[in-house]
Amino acid sequence: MTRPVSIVIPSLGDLHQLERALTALRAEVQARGVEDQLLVVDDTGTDVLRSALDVPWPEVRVHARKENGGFAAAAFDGAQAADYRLMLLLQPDVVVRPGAITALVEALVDGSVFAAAPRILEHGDEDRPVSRRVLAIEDGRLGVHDTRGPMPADEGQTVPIAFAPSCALLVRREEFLAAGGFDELFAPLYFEDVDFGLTAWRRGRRIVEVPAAVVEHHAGGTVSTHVPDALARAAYERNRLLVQWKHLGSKREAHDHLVSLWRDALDAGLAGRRDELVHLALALGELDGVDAARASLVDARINLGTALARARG
Amino acid sequence: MRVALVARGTAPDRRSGFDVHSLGLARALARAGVEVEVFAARALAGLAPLAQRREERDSEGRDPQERDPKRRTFAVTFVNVPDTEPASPESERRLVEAFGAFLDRERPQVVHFEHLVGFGPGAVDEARRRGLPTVFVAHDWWAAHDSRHAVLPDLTAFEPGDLEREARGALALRWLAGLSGSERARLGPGLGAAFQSVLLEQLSAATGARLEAFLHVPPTPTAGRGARGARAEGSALEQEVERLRARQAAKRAALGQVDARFATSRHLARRLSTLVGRAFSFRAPGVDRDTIRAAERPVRTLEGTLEDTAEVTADLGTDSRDRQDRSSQTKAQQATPLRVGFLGSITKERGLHVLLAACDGLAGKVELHIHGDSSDRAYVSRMRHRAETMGAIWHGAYTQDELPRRLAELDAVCLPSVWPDNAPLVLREAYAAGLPVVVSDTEALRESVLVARDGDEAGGPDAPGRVAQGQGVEGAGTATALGLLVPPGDSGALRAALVRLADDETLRASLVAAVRHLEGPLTKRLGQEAGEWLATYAQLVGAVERRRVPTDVPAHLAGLARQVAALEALPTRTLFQEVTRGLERLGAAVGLDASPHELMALAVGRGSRTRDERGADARAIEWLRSSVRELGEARTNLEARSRWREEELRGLADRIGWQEQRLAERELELQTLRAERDDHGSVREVLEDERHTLREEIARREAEQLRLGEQVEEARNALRSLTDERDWLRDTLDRGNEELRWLREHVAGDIEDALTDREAIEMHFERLCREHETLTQHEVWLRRQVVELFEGLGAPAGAVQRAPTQPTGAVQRAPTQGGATSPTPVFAPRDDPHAADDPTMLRPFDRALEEGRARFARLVSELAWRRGEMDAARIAATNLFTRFAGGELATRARSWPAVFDVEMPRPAQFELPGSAEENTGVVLPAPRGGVQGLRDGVGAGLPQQRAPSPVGPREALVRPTEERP
Repeated sequence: MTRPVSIVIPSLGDLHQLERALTALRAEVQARGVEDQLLVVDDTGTDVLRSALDVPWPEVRVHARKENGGFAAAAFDGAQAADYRLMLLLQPDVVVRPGAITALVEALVDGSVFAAAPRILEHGDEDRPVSRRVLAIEDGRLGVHDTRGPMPADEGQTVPIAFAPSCALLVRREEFLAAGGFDELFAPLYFEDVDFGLTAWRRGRRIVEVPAAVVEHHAGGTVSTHVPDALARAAYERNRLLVQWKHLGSKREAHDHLVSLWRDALDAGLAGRRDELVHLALALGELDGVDAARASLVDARINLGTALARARG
Repeated sequence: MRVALVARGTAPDRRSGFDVHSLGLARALARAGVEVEVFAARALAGLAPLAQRREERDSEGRDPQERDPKRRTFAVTFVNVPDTEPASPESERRLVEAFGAFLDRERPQVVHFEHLVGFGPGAVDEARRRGLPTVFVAHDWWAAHDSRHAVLPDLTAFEPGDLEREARGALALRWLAGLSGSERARLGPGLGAAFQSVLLEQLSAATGARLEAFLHVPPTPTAGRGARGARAEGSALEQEVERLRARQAAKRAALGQVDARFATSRHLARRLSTLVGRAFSFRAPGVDRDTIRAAERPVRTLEGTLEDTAEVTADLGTDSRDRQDRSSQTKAQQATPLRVGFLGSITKERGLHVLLAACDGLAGKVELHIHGDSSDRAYVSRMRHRAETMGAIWHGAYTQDELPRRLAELDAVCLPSVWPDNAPLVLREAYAAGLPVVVSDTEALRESVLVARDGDEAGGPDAPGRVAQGQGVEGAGTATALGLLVPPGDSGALRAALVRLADDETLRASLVAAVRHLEGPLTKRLGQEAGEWLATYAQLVGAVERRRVPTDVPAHLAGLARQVAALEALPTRTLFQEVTRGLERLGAAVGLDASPHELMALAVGRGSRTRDERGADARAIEWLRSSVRELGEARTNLEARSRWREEELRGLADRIGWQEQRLAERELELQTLRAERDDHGSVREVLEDERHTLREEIARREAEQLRLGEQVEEARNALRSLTDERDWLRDTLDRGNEELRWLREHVAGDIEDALTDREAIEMHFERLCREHETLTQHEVWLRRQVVELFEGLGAPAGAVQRAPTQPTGAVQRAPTQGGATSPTPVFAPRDDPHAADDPTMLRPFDRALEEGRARFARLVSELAWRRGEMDAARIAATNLFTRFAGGELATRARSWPAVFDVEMPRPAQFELPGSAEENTGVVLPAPRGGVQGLRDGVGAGLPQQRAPSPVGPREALVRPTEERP
């Protein structure tokens, strides 16, 4: 028997995208028959969605933020406003397939699972499972790598993954709130989900993918619409460094990482690759935040390397 | 505020006033708190082309080794451009690329173009593309011309805006650069990019004349240069004009993108505003007046030694110059020559050669001091030799630090520019040193020499300068002179001006006083200029800065966007500093013990993309070198083959010569043959014409032959027809003859007989008529006798009266066929009523008479009938034989007269009673078969008489076969 879920959808106001997601959700909610909650967090800061959704989507509750705060803030607000114990965080560019929510709920029965991610298919492509991205440290730098190709057929009910992409993840609302939601260090975007997953792993919990719960992620609907490419790139690179700095464990890891950073900095300086220097400078400008973030992990049980190894199964 | 200042160059390579000013301005801006990054081209030994090196200078301009770390610095980035590299679109493009890299690296907030020489308009695009505000300062005519001094290669100035004259100059320069041999040697070595003009004395008379002719005379056909040459020259000129026009258009477009445009003289600002079509504002350049004025002025004594004066203050009243002036009115000082200085770049357009010519022979009156140098080594060498020969003092190059001292040792400064000089720095430096000037009279220089007096409205607050009321010598109109003006290039006038200045102490003193009391833009200090620029920059930068931060992002991204914008605005070195400091902190934050240097060392050893790229570049270079080696080897082989080919060619050339000789011979033969061919051709043409004519004739004759053939055939056919017809006619004729014979036998004989009968009949008739007459007369006699008898016998009177006394019958002529009439006696039946009354007496006479009449009528009828038959026979005979037989018979037949009366009834059957028996003298034999039988007989053998054919004789020959018998 399944349990009701609060489905929290932060939105920047793209109504077409939102309605596409809601259409699939409506069908799924109706099929589940447990009165799941549909909660849209209006992050435009102008409360434009309420009137737009009121009539066509009477079952959708709109929570409007007073000002635009970004995905993490909107997710946190949505978690606070949600009713149920289970929260399915969805981005508006995700379309759930039938049975996805129920399968996800089943995965969270296991108390060791901190968060469960559905099988997220990029644009519905079976060979592009976003949920199976792999974290790896190469040449001292943390990187996220896509997994391509069809997944094995006998993977079991759940598969351990390093992190649940923030575009679609199911979590216990209290745990989410207790963790403070996504770390503000990574605002406005990128790698907040990676940090969320690594933090969970380092604290002895697990992040899993539920192959039976399938959703489609139609990327390009949020970031590319509202964020200039250069700015998005800068945020990505900055946060890629911040997440590694937050979770740097052993001195050896730190040493290798710093050597690679110095090399990249020298390289970029000599070659005139200013973008790389800007990204580094951006990240280095958040060192105070890194310190605070590292301090919050005093209860971490394992280091980054071990966490990554466990996440690889 | 971070400013990129684009200059032409800096010391020690470039020491022109313009270059000195650029550096001075950089220094002044740095003192004002501006971060100044100067960008200039320079030849850097040992570096790759367009390599860039940055040097920091303190605000005093000292190099890094000596700089005072406490002073604010500015930096100069040099880009390696060899002096010998000629300017070209490609070199400009590469330089602009290097400039773009400089902008990316230094991230200025505004770009200040002190000049664009060597860069071209592309540099402005580079700045604009990065969203940077720009300012441009015009110091010369570059904005309107590539020849920025607006002089031709013979140092003749052309009117700014005259592209055609400039084009001539450009073509002439190329021609000069292409000279070889002795002419080239006369120009001297190392011309490089500095080569823009020559002294005519450097050229041979012929070359000089040719140059002058090209520069100043339109292209027309002359001896040795025909119409084609003139046209080629004109075409090259047109192309060059178009090229310059395109350049000008590109400059105009680029300068139109500049945010603020300035010029260093009002004249230049006005003219460029017109020529470029964009507004230029006047902004006077500043000069380091304080440093110059602070220099101690040595006191000159009769003996020529120099003594230091008291310490100098900036106050005019206690200036060492004034003290010297107050104490200098000695005969000794009046006897010393006027010390005239030439300072700055020793280049042709600045006219030192004119000054030397003017000063030649003025030793003792004018003492010429030459300070400066340039990269035009040939000219410098030439001038130095000339100067030293005539006793001028050659001081050579000087630093800006040395300038005040050098100025202090002069009485006047001369600027004999031959180009439309604008706002030379040396002019302001001279004024700062309190020295009057002798300059070329150009419009721009005039505004720096003739200035308004204080209180005059002339010139307004922006006038280049003004002098306090009462000071200075009167100049033109309400202007005060700060010096003397002479026509450019006129050494004679210059000489006179120098002599005047040397001799006229009053003039000299008044000029000096005017200079010393000068106020306004001509006295602007560099610091003041820097302040003006700072205000301009601030105005431009403010608007741009607001546009840098993206505003179309969600609020939660704005902070990140600002951070990124702020980092992107940093120069690369600053950004790198930020990063390295941050990495140090990070290391500390993560608890690393290794120092940054250790980490850097490890980083270098780890390998890098730069090293990887360099490796790839090195491999590529090695490959290129290998390729070059191979190409070199291939070239060597080709050269060897080429030598072999040359030998082959020499052999071939010999053979060719022989072949050419043979060819010439063959040519002669060919010409002969051609002549023959032409003759043959003519003959051939004639023959062809003849052939054509003959062919036509043949064709015509063939046609004629054909036609004749047809005619012959027709004739043959006709002949055949005729023959057949003839044969038929012959047959017919034979038959006709037969018939005719028969006719003759019957008709002709009858006719003859008839004719004979006729004659006989006529005779008989005549006889009868006579007899009748006789009878009638006898009758009358008888009747008279009877009457007399009766009278004698006593007979009734009526019976006697009724006896005709005249014959009752008149001989009437009956019409015949043909209208002829013949006497035909016609006896009308006597209608005598008494015939019945007394028949007994006359009855036997009347009966005889009646019988005679009847018989005569029958004869006449017979005669008529015979006549008719004869007519018919004649007609038939005529129809039969007239055309074919002709002959006597036909003639005869035609001649048969139609004498018979056809009106006379013809008996149906000819049976004339008694006609055959009675012999009345006319025997009329009865025709066999009667008349009809005669007719039938005639008709049987005769063709049916036809109506005369309406067709012609020929057609009549052709008869339808059905008509033939």
